[in-house]
Amino acid sequence: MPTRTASPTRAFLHRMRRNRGALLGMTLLAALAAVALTSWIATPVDPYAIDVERRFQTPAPRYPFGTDDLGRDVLSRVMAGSRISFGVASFVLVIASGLGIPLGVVSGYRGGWLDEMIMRVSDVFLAFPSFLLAMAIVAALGSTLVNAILALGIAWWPRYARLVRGQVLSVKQSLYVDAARAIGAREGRLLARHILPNCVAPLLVQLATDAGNAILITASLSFVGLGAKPPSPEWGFMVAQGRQFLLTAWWVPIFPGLAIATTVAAFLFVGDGLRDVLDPRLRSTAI
Amino acid sequence: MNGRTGDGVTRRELLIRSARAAAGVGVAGFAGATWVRPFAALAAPARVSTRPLVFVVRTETLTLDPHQNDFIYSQNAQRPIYEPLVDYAPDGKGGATIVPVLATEWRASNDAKTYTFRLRPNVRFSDGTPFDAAAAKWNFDRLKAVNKGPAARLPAIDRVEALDRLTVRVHLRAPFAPFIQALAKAPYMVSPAAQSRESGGDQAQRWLDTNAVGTGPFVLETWARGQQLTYARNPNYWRGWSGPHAERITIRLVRESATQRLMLEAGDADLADGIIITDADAMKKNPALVIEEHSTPAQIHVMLRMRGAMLDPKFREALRAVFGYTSFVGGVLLNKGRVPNGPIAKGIWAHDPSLPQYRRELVRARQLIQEAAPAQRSFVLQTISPFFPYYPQLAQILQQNLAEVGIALTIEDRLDAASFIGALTALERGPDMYGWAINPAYDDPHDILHRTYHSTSVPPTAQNFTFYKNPQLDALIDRGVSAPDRARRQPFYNEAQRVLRADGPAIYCAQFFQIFGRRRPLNGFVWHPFLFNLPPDFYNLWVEA
Amino acid sequence: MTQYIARRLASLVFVLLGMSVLTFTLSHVIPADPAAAAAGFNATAEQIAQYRLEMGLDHPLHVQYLRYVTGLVLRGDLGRSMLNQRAVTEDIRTFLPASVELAVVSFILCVPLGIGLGTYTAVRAGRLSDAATRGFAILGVSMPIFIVALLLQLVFYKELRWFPSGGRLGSEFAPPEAITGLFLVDALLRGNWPVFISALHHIVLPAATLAVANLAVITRMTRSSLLEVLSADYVRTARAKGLSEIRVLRHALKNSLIPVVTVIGLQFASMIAYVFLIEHIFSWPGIGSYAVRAILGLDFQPIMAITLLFSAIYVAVNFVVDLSYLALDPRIRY
Repeated sequence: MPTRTASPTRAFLHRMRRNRGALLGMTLLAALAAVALTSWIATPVDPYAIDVERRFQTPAPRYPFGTDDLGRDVLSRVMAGSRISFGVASFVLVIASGLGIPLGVVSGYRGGWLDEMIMRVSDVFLAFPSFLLAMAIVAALGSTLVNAILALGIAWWPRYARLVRGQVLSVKQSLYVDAARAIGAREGRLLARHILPNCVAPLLVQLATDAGNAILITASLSFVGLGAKPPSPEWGFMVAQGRQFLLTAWWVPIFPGLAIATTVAAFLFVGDGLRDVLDPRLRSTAI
Repeated sequence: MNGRTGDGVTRRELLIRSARAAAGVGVAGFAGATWVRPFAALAAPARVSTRPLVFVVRTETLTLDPHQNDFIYSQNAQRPIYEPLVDYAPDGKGGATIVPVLATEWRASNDAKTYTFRLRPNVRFSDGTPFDAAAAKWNFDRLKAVNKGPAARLPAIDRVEALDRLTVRVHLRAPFAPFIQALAKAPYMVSPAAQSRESGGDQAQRWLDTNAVGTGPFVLETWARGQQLTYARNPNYWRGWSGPHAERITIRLVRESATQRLMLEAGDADLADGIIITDADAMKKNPALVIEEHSTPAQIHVMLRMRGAMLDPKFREALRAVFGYTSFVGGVLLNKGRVPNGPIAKGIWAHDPSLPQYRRELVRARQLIQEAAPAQRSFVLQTISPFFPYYPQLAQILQQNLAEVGIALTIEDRLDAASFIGALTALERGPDMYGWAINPAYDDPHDILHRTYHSTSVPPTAQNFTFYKNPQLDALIDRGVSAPDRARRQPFYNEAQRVLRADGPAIYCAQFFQIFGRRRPLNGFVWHPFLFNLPPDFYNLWVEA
Repeated sequence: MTQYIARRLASLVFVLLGMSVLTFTLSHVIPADPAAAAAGFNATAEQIAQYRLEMGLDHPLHVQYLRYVTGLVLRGDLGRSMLNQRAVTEDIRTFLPASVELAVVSFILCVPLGIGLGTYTAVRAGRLSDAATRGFAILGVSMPIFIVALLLQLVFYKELRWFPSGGRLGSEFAPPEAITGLFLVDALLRGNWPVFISALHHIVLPAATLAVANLAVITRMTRSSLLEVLSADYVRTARAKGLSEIRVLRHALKNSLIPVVTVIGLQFASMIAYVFLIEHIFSWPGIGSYAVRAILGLDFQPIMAITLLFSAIYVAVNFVVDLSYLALDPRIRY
């Protein structure tokens, strides 16, 4: 149970600030989020505007990341792409945790045959490497970005279900829940007040790590043609399309590639930092 | 070792020797040594390199059986082994001419229905089976029995008879003027001994998938699927082995164009078929490389499938008016190509130069769309970029052009022919439009017109995946092919071009160049306009040591 | 112990069954007419009908499923690819060894290095070199593997010319006669040194590419796990008793290996799936590009077969990992 000091939030923020990795990750994420937000309003150039007259411009002040094979501004496209990547990450996490958390709570709290069933089904899902399962789901639904998101969400719900179930079980056993029950607390209240808050720390860590992975995996799916479609500025897709120009116009594939790396790294730094700060005993590196 | 192995050298010894030689080459390459001797050919007798000649290709071989698949990606692997009755060779004036291969003479009846061939004497398949009239007949019959892609290139054959040991006569059901031209593409002559490998009435298809016995200059050593094929000389080849020729050939699958370029630059490849235009210009600066960049009668089209809004000729006309021809030909193809004026490319004899080239007419397109008032506003375009690397750009230019007139386009790119075609076999399923490269298999308009636009060519017969049906055009195509000479055929094709310009189920986007990259020491590479559909002549290729 | 293994095996069968149902369902909602595609585009309506019969597509779905499972279990039959008309088992035999070879070599590269680096950073926790290594590890995990591949190819093929650009063997060699399908092993067994050296030369770059991401994961895992053990009471006791630092470390390392082994196992299983991201770039003829082609081509038999195969590998590796705990931790008794 979290200690009831004057302000746990402030203490948490203080510790996060002292963690260099977390600080770096947060700064990066804040910057990237700012870019993504800006790109809603405006990008230097229309990221979709084709103009073959200005194709393959080398990076220069006018086009800091150069232009691609159809004369589109790579910087503007990378900016627009950040919106897609953050969107992908959020939707995947919402789906995965939206499915996984309730199922985990039910499973842990109710126990019995329901628990057994949910866990066996999650076994099956966990038996697939998530990348492969996502590929198979995309194959069935059709290769679009939305389906890639759905696929990852579906592939990842068992992680959340298991995590929450574990927490619920350990809290359920502990004395203070017994005590609360003894004084007649209702079940809903019990869950809301005592059980769920205990899940927050491990959930945050898992969410941060998965956000990075979601971006990396959808980029990979798009790279092999199982995700975004033209003219999408999805980063993995930009790398895939720009790859053939590597020797004549390296900036076309490299900048979106670096964008993926930076964003994923930012999430990982934050995830690591959260882990260190929230629970020093939690050191499983779920990649 | 100077270009004369094969006699008395076992394959194992050959392997060992070449391995050693290759090790030496590897060391030289490691030190970064590159040398160029542009005048070497004028100096002392040329020495043939003992390491294998390496041809890197961007598409995967599907089968070695030439009667099952004759698309370029399989023919690359088949042509070192198999030979046709006649073939194309450059005519020295930028065109191509028919030359004898396994047939030495041929004669057509006046009605273009009966063709008689005199076969080359003293030719044996690499398994020792003699090549004779019976063998030729067996091949025609098998092609028909297998009845896959290559069979569709030939007209309906009534029967084939062996007149004597070296004479065959082919009786067609209907007159077919370009029959001799078509023979350059099919059938390739397979050893009839393969018949004994038949299982379950499959015409030995399963066996010939991975085994190959032909009359050609090379025999297959190994095929590592998805990697490479290696060939050694056929010691008993009928043309003999005097003069410089490659000793061994390796055909290697390298899908990435950037990698193909790097391999050429490093000397790890001698010939490459997947060099893209943007790389070609940079590579020309390298004195060790030669970029073979030639106009071909090949065109890239966006085919419009006859359903929904596409049924309205006005809408099809609007799509032809909206496409940014110069953006694509100038901006993407860097003018290595030209804007077409209709379905038949410049370079095919029936091309009509009097028709104006297409251009983008936005105002007219808007007007046509307004008149057509299509209920459907959103379309799907399917492309296959491994077969035409500029599809992504073409598709996205069209996408932007269509967006300007309020039409949405979704682009689906496929990676292999089977799934690409699988989506097109029924009109009610699959995309609204598809990219299609029209590569004439031989110098005649009939092949492309009949295959692509004739109403009898709808699947499963041939490749009219648009399901376009126009009795007027059918009649023109049918009468064009049965008229006996070009002068009398031309009027039909002129009319066919006009019909297709006005009504056709396609946007005729661009005529494009064929690009091969090669290293300068590679000799014997000759270009002709139909090379796009026929691999290089492997017999004449050799690398100078 | 035997009871435990039996129980695990039983649940394994359950998982495999579940997987087969899942993949079967997934691959049968695929929007394509498998019979039409299998028959080829020159097929007549009768031929297509013939294929539909042959493929059993006229039966209801659950019957098709039962037929599939019995075919798989009794005859090892995984169906036929409609794209190339070959038996899927034959294709898997052709393409899987290349991927396995790549994964194994990559593992040989990254496991010792990862554990070593992880130990080093754990011992030097908090210092600059620790921070640098951790930074590198995070970068390694976040860098898309296809970007790593492109960069390595540029540096080591284009610029330095140390390694070839791709493929499994030099153009001058024929593959060694297949025993295992792994070129390195086959060449050794046949005593064919030039082929062995060429194969080794060719596998370095793709294996290194794969290793980068895994190296990072293993390093991170070893570090955190070791740090946890080093702060445990018994280590402090050991130190207090005057045990040399090296011996302390050796004990600690052994005890911290369990989570590391788990991660290694999972990584290995999922790596074969990741292989396909770089197969294209390195012209590596593996199962990954085969799988991608099947998926893009809606070729449902290979999709099913490969999904099942990989999951089975994954499950099997997990099982082996569980068993290896026994060896690593004498306290665990099942």
